Amino acid sequence: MQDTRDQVVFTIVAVIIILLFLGVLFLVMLFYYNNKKGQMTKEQQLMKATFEKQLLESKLEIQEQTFDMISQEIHDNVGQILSLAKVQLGIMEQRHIIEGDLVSNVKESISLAMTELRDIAKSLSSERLQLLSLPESIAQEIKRINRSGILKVTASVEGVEKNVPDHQKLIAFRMVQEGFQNIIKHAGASEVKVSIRYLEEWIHISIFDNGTGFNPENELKKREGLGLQNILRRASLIGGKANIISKPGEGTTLEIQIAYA
Amino acid sequence: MHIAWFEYFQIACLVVALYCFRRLRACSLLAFIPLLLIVNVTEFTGTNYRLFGWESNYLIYNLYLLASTPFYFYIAGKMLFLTGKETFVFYAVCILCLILISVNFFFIQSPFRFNTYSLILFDIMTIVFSSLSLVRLTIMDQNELNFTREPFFWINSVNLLFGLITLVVLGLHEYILINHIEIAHKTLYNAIVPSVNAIVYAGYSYAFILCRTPGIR
Repeated sequence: MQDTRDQVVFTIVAVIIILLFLGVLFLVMLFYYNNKKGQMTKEQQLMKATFEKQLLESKLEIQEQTFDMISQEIHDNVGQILSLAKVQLGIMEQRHIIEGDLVSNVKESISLAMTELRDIAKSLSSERLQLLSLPESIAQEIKRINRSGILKVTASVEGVEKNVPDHQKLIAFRMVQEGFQNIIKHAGASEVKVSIRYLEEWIHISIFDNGTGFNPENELKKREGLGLQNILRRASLIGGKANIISKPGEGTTLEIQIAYA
Repeated sequence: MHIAWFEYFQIACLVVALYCFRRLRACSLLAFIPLLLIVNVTEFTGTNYRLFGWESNYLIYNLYLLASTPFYFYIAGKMLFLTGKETFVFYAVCILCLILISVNFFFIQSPFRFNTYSLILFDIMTIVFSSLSLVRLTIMDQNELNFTREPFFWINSVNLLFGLITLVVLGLHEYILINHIEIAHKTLYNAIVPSVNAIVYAGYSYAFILCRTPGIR
């Protein structure tokens, strides 16, 4: 009888212990899950902060480059044209005459300077860029470069145009602008071909120049290669990819891929 | 007149609850005060039933179950953060349980026999509600939730453990008494339940201290 009672006690205590164990296990699992959730949240916050920092840095760099570009454009183009107009006016003053041809030349120079200024304003305005599609913005930039006579740029668009979010469009356009600037400054090219292709999930932009070419690996390592590094980093910022294909003497191709959303 | 050692924990818990009145109100846990009053009166009367000339204390504990269950369910509802249809389902289940407990008290096991069926039902509901509450607390969209600083976690954890232990001990109450099942010359009930009670009310007290007024939180 005592044995049977002991067995019952043992069984009851065992059941209690098992139930207690299951309860504690449940609580431990909740603790574990909660800790994991906390860790993941912290990591996400860190990633978000890093991304925002990079985005801010990128925006500041773009701003700085934009100021450089304005300065250069005003100095090289508008400044030159206005200087010519000033010289022409000086000649008129010295001769004390007003020649019809000279006056029309001065008018032409001032009108050219105004056009240049208008073009610069258009290419810099992010509001205007948001109103236009990416191929339209690139086409305007190409028109501006072609008008300057430095390069002959042609463009082609393939596929059905799809909507690209504004911030992606702006950064993509600045990447293309930086690509053009690099060609003008360093490539020594005479022709540039731009291809914009709308694929299923990506928009693919390719810029080929027939310039001197270079070794991308070496250039990316150098400090002078900052412009190229910026292009690559900006592409990753908007969830895209950028690739520079070049060999000395064989020209350069810059390929940019951006996802639609 | 006798006061069992675990009753000091219950009295202390009531004192802490009264001291943290504003904090409990901020956490929607004010129902703990009447509940703890019922607990203390029941335990004191239940321990000293012979002083009143009663043969057993079952009636006291059966009445306690009947009176305290609505408060327990109300508190569980507050800790579950119910919304929309959940509130309706929850209170429908609670009302059904209360009806079953009442029917058992008046018609099935009667007021003078220990209401084990009601107690098993109550324990099952406690286990289910506290588990749901803990899960909801875990998956709630909060960036960082420190469980050890969360009053609802402590209340539900001790409720869950109490439910799991007493489900067996109190569910088999009559069987244990009839068969004189003992550990170290104490009935299984007396060997286990007082310690569990002490843990539960210590847990409650700690949870009340952790409650924060809106200004502090």
